[in-house]
Amino acid sequence: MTTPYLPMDLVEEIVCRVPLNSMRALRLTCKGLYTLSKTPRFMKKIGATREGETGMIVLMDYNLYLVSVVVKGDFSAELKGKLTCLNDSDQVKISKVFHCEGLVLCILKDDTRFVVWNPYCGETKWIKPRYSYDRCQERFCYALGYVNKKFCRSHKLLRFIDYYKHISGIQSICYEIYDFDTDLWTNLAVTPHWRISSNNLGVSLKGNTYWCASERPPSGHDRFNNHLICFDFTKESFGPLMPLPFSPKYKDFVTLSCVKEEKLSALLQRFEPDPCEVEIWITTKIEAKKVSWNKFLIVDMRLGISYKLESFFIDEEKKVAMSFDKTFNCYVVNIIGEAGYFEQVDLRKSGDNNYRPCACAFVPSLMQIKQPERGQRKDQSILEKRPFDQNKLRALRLAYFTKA
Amino acid sequence: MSSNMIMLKSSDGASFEIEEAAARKSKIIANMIEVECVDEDKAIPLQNVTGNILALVIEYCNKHIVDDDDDVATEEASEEEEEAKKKKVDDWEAEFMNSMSLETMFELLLAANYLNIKSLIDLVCQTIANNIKDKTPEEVRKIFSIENDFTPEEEEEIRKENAWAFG
Repeated sequence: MTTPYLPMDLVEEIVCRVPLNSMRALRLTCKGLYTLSKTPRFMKKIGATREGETGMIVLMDYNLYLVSVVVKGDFSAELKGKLTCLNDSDQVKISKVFHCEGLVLCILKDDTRFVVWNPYCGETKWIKPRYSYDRCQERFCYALGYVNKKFCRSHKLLRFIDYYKHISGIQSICYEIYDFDTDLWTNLAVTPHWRISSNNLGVSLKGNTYWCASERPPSGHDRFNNHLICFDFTKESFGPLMPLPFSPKYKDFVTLSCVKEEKLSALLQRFEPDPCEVEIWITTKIEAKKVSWNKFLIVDMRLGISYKLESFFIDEEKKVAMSFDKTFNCYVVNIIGEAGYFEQVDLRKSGDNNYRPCACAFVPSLMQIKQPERGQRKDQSILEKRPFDQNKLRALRLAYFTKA
Repeated sequence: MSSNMIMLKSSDGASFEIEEAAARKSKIIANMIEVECVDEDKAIPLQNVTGNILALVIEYCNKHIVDDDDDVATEEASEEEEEAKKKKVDDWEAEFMNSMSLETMFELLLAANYLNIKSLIDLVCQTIANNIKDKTPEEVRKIFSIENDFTPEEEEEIRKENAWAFG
């Protein structure tokens, strides 16, 4: 039995309704569907979210999953797909993710390469650092950002390790930036007046990245992560320390999130004296040097959760916050709202490891990743004028082993 | 509710009587009624729809006409009632589509498109989409009678480009 011929506009109506995880097969069907999948009109249709839906990319047991969270009367969270690499031999283990307007930076575990991936288009770009620091790998912070140019965006990757021991005064600093256009790494000359701890995940907003930061040297234990700092990818420099809307104490937990690519949100979880309160604020104004805040939600969590709400998302209209977390044996999505509203949905059992859960937004995008032109890849060891700083590496190793 | 009856005639000569309100689900027929080009004694000829497919279209329209009429009356209906009603319609639609072959679905889609019945187009497209979601490129090509117009090099390039994907 053969099916009758359908005109292309009806085929389009059908294929825009398939889930995202069928896109690879659709693109391989014919030129027409391949080209169609790369049009804004089609992406808008396939990526159209239902009312109250938030798309998340979450990291569970070193692999990425697509999760759809719907808040509409009820609350539901559903696994929609798992990252699969075409060749089994290419399967990767991912330890960290960072999202920047449709592109996801993946830091691989036990591998010194990074992958930038557009989960809608499928495109990937592998980036190799100049130097790998073996066991210090986890102590690096990463951020993906961009510079707006006349007709396009130029992406850049910031990578740094900033080890600082307050008491001994030992510090080792290495800030470097990778330019997607030139395919080159360069050192960034900075004298930090800030301190960003290595487990602090930055948040991308309008091409720049924001972190929670402390003064350097800190003015006492009770002043931990009480500031905000912005790395401006256009100027390739950090801005001043800006205020957060609250004063965290030493044991308290502060984290950031981006709201609809327009605003920042800051979450404070009080752990002193007991886990008791969660405060969430949203920016009313945010620039590299200026910020102002508005209170969004304060929730009494005395009977709720005792772990840190690391990756959170805001639905401003529904007045709720969602977070992706790991309980002692399970990955969960939590939702907290006004008047102590709290619900939890289990996603799946967690494997036997103790890495931190991590999630980022899923935003469909047609953003292309600049690939090095064929045959044009430059050998950086020849081009790099500055010789590799052996002292820096030694300092890093020292820092690592002193800490360990 | 209008109880005017309209006659529809399929391409293979079968005649169907349908309530005007149900027939108005089709924008094309609704327009014909508006401009008064419907002769009460004469059946509207539908050149592109066969009798067996037209019977399905009419079954769908009859089922949905009641629901649309109810909209006005039940404006104050509680949320639970609304939900229960929606579930009933969803269940009926699932059952309606479930009994159909892929070939019939395609013909029904072409008819819904020709008659311009938006909600039926949506329903059939979604059902076909659910059917193709786990298919290989070769299977999708077969379903849509699409030819593989990639050169082996191009196919390899796209395979490489889509090496990472949610599956």
